[in-house]
Amino acid sequence: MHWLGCTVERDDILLKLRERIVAFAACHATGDAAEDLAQEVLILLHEKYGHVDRLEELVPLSLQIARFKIMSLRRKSQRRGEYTQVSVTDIQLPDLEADPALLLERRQMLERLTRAVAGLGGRCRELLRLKLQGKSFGEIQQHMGAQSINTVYTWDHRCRKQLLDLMGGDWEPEK
Amino acid sequence: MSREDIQKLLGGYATDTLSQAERQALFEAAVEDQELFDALAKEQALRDVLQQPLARQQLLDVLGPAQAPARRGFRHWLRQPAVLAMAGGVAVLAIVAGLAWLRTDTLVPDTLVHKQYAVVQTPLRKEFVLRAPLRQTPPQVVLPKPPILVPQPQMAEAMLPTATPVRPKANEPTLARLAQSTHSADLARQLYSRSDPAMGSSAGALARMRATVAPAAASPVRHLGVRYGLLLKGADGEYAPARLDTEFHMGDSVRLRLEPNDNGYLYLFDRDATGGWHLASTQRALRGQPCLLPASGALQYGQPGRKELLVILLPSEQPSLTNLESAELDALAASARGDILTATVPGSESAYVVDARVQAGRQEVVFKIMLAFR
Repeated sequence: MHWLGCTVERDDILLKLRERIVAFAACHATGDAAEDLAQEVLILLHEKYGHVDRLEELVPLSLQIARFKIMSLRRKSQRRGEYTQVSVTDIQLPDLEADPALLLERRQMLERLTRAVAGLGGRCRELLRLKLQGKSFGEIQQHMGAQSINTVYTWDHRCRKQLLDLMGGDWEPEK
Repeated sequence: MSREDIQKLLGGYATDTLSQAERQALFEAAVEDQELFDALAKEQALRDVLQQPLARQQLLDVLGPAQAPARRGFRHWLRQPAVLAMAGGVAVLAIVAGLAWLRTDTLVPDTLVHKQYAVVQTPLRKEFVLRAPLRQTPPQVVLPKPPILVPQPQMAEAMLPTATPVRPKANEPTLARLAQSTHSADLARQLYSRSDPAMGSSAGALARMRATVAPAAASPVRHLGVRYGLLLKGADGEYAPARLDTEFHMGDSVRLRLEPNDNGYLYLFDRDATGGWHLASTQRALRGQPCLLPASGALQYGQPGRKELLVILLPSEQPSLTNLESAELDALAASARGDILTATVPGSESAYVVDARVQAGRQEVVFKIMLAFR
């Protein structure tokens, strides 16, 4: 019963993911909220993405949902005045066409990223360029004439660290 | 893979660089390891941004053009055992030559001689020449001519790997790499030409490269290419060739004359005022037959400035191409840039643009043309 095997495996993955998400969310929210957040992610995975059962799809999907939930939680807290008290007249009406906060965050991050990328060294720039062009590590190895793929992994690891340092240690600014 | 190795895969998550096996290894480790999972979750923010084609393109623009392939190729070439052996040979010859020269040069005090050697490599044959040393000598001292060592071609040939020639992999841009050692303009012309001397005669530079380095891959490869020029409509209503660097006037009627070296489909996109690409024309093109784009009418602009065109030549019709977003077309042009060789004909009335990759059946020519209007 292959399908049953898949289901069991999926449940097993989801259990582990729940554990990981709760622990990760605990850094961004209080204990109960972290539990709720993980639960919401799992509900979404179960109800909307029930057809997704492969690990390599479930992990990025859960990470993306978790990130949106965390951002939503932050904004909700701000609106409620948990961090700062804001006059009701200052609260902007929501734009139902798109999520301007998300777009703004992306734009700001892209601006920071653009500045940081300009400070990278020659090899890192070339490596990042090839990655952005969609090349795999294997192709990058051939393209850059590296002796082994491990060399490329090491280069990439260092370049990522360098880029992260240039961005102040985190992709997203401290909230 | 060790934990440390798996952590090195993190950098490929946001850019979607990982292969199936790498993804599997990373995610399997992440669901078991909280620290790795947290790191992956932090990468999600970057991934969300990089999944936007426009963001990718903006970063690619900041990163600038590809590193000169010649430098990469030279480094790669330098690492080959045959090259290392040859370098050793050159070093020995240099020492021998130096000793011989010192013997015949006893009249000159050592302090007056500043020895400077240079190894000259021609791109195709790994020859070397030990150049005359530069010396600072008083005018009254007459020095014998220093020896110039020019090894016989046989000697250089003997140093090349003959038993096991390097066989390129199917998806490797071998010719682009080979092109690093020769003049790209010459190579572009040779690759474009249907009667490519490299295919038959032994005269062309490419032929020699192929014969020496990759004989197995040489014959079946066909490089899709196009020769293009600009046509300007004159007062008599006739179109006449114009130089590629012509500065046109507002209201001028301009068309492209394109001559592919194989049958295919041509697409012409025009960058509109909003910065997006607009399909100006598409046309089936026959090998060696000039065709004009736009197929009807002409390119006309009412505003001065630089106008950007995107030309795509594909072996067959791709209707989906016309549905691509502007950012996707930009990404396509950016990704193709490294595989395209361009050569402008003397006089600048036309240029050759060729896909230098060795990928039979996957050839495509994607390039931009800038027109200046005042």
